[in-house]
Amino acid sequence: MPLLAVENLTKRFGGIVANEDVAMAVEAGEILGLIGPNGAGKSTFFATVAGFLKPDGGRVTFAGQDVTGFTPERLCRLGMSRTFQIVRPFLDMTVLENVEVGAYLQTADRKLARKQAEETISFMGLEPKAGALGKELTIADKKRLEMARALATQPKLLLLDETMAGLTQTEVQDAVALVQRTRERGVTIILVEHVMEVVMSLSDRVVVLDGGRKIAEGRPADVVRQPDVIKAYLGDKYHA
Amino acid sequence: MPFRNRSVVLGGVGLAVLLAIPLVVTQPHPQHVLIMIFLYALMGIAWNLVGGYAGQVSFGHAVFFGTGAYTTTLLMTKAKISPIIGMFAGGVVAAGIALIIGWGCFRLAGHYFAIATFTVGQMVQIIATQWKYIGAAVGVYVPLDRQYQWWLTLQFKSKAGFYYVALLLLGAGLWLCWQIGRNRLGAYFRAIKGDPEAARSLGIDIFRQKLYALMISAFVMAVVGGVFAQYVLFIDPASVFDGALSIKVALVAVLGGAGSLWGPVLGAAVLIPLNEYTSVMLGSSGSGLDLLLYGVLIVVVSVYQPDGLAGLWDRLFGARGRILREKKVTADAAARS
Repeated sequence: MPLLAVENLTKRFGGIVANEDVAMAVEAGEILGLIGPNGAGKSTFFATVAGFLKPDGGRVTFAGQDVTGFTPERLCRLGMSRTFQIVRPFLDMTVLENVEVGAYLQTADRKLARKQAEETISFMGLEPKAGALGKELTIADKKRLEMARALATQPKLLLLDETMAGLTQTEVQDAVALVQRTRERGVTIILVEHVMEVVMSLSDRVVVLDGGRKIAEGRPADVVRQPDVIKAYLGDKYHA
Repeated sequence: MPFRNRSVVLGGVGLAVLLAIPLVVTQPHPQHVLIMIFLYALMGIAWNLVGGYAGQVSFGHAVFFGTGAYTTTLLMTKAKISPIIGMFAGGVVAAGIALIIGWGCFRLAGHYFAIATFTVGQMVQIIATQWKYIGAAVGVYVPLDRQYQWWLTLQFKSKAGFYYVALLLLGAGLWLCWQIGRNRLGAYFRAIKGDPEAARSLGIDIFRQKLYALMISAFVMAVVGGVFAQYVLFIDPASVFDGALSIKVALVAVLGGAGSLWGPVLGAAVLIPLNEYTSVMLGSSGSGLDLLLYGVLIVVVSVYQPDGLAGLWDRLFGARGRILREKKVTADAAARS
């Protein structure tokens, strides 16, 4: 049984269909890449699965339970956590306090939450910044914090929305290593990413969206050779 | 830990001074001003939980104050229940009212929430003015207790008794706020203020947490209202459900430092003497000059010092100030090597 199964998910904004009949499944322990050109409906798909938008049709099943239309906080308590494409740290709280907020999902005990948060911070390599305020961080550290906070809730499934965008080459390599280590801890991951080398090297499988529909799915190396995918990214001229 | 020892010593000396003040300062008016500082500091702390920590600015907190004042007084006049019990009963009633108000108003965010709380405040005042059972516009006189059996009536021969009651309650309020601030509830409140959407993504039911903040806040406000009624011995809707009281309570917290533990105490220590002595000098005949002063203060604080007096203090002497200085030192050392 897949950890997450999405069937015929549809989301409209007025006359615009942002997602149409999108279906996919993620097995436990997998890293699934979600790619597609700008406006393909990746972020909408993410927001709908994570409960931030109400779907207009379709079904989402998580860990064997129908969770269609659940609120984000309820989904998070069931073990699905997300990061935001545009980072949203708590600016006036320290890195440690930020991560503690996530850790408090599993325990009301202050000392236990602190221990959890410290452990997560060290896993993410954020110890030197533990006492800094959210607003004092660089963009790369803010993205790390975003991931640390989500991880501290101890999710089964982590949705990473463009965690690599805007990072330098070295920062991207660090982040890729982190995602891999996170998976090794038993966390299933779906990532939306524009940086192709990241998707290709990290993902076990990729799903390609274009114009709100799924146009391809499979191993990364196979998918990039499919005519529909080349067409979506490069236009008709390069149609093989 | 020498720093901790120093804090304990300073705290002990401060407490001894506070306890000794009524023995030295025996004139009624200075004692009255101190009592008012304590009560407003406590109300500022209550407001701060929802307005400062959780970032939900309320301009209707007089509702809870009035609820406490009326519940305590009516329990005493109609059922002979001691205000010492009555003020906590008032707290429970106010928390219930907060649940109802929050249920409606927390569907709104930001300015709209603030406007809604102000409107509810006005509505409650009008209802209280019409409600015959609770004395309507005439108000209620608290029966005088000539024997000064304070455990039955919370009335004292001198103001010193109220001074100690107010001080004790302020201490309890500070302790409560400190406990909330260092535990999950406080972390959740601050997360909601920081970014409600991010808070939801971390599993926080923000509607429920805001209700908790408002209910705790309302409870404390009502306790102060109950004590206040026994202090002034007369309550009516115009005084205890006063919209200006709501503003003043918010101002105490914001001037002192929204979201900081000691902020409201600083705010009350500055604002209340200012208020008391200007009304002595300018006459309290409703000239509105004190309100004008509040307006100017709100503008000055929000433009020049958004984190209030506590923020100013912190930056100069406090923990963050120290951290910044240490950072600079290590950075300089790194630059030299």
